[in-house]
Amino acid sequence: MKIEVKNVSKKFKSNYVVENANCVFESGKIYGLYGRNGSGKSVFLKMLVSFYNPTSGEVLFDGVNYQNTSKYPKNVGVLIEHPSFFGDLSGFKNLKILARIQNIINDKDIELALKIVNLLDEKNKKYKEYSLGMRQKLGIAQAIMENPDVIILDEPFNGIERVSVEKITNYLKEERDKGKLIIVSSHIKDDLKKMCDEFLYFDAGKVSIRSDLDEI
Amino acid sequence: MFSVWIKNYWMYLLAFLVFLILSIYSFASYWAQENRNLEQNLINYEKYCYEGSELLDYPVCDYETISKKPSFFYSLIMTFNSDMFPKGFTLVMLVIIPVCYFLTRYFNSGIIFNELTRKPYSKIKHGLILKSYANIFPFIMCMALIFLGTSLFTDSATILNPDPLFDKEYLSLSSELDNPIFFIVWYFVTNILYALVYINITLFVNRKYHNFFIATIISFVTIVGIELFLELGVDLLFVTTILKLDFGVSFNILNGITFNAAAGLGGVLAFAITMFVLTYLLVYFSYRNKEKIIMDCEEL
Repeated sequence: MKIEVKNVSKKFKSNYVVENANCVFESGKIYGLYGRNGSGKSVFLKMLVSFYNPTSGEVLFDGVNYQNTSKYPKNVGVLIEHPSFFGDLSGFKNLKILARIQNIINDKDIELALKIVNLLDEKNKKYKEYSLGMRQKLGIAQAIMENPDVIILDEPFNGIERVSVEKITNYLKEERDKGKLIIVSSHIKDDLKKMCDEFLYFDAGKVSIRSDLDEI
Repeated sequence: MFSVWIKNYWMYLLAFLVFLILSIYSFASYWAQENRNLEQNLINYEKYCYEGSELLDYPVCDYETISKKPSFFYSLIMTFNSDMFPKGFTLVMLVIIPVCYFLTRYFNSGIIFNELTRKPYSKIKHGLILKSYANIFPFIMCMALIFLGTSLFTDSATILNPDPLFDKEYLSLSSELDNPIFFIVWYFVTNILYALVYINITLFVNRKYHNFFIATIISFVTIVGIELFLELGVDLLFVTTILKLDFGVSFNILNGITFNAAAGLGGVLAFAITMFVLTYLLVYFSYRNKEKIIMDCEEL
């Protein structure tokens, strides 16, 4: 799996949120997107998964451009910004609704994803009763439950306790070693340094590739 | 996953029950009054229609006329013209409230973000439209029950009475209505089209407004606004005053169940189809841009 970002810019009204980004993401690596809040990370990720269309440039998923089409890049697990679920349903039922769309996993796979994020014991609790960290965990479980080739997580560790962060980090490293492509964004350097192989630094819409975050 | 289904569609079931109860109550009230009239007619017949009476040539002494059951058509019209269905507003509310609930629940959950990585946007869009249209099924079932119930009580062999005091003269209908099957199909189709028009307008409003109460009020006001525009602007000012034609009386999206076919059945059906197509185009264009839908959901 290879994602190519070619001269991608996104403009809202007269402001460039992402400006002329160029990079390549390849399987078997974890990429860290680092930058302050509002630096353009989320918008960049939304363009990657074709939620947003770039104002100019293109994003290619294995050579295919999904922008301005109704199609979508398959085998991609995504959590962008905040998790979104039905408040009056349990965490498990929310995942089950989503699992039925592609129908490639069963209840045990859902439970496995919940176990990875340390949420199995709370699976029958209603989503609206979840704390911020639990909601975030459910969002991550949603992104990984179908065993996708690409995992994209935007600020995944917001509100999650350290033990679970460690567990999820280890899981992502294992998946990387199995050959998956993983992209994680955060405004916390240490979270990214622990697991990422390469970094993209976002500063007011400008994107630069870094091999080490310490120089920033 | 029955519990999930119920949480999505319980309002559809509630609308069905409310519609059914209102219809039964309305029909029962009308039927009780009809029986009281019949009893009074028979008392009057006994009292005044003796040999040599001056009233013998009047309808009040025509036993066949006064003892005749009301027609199916007349009963249906009386049922849906009761206080329970003022100007068709009841039907509008019963159609738009469940759809607003379904759509605002969906958009507010933000579940669309999770779905977008699992199926194409076109499928999500069509699913949303079809699930909204599904609210006409309780309405169809309800209509079918009311048709069945009404036909059991009334003279179901004919839509109009052969010698009506009311039917044909009042509604200026063509003889095509003497065919019960034709009437039932026509009535079903036009009402389904009107219900779909309400749903299309609701879909259009909910594209932007994701608060249940605000979306419901704006949907209702929009439907009433379109009705006023059609009646006052298009019919009264343009068709009647400027073109000097009378077919503008069909331009009414609220009188589906209360029935007003003064301009002819074909005219009403053509108007209902036109309105459905126009409002569907509105939905098609408003839901075409995936990015705008996503941004509207993100504003929550």
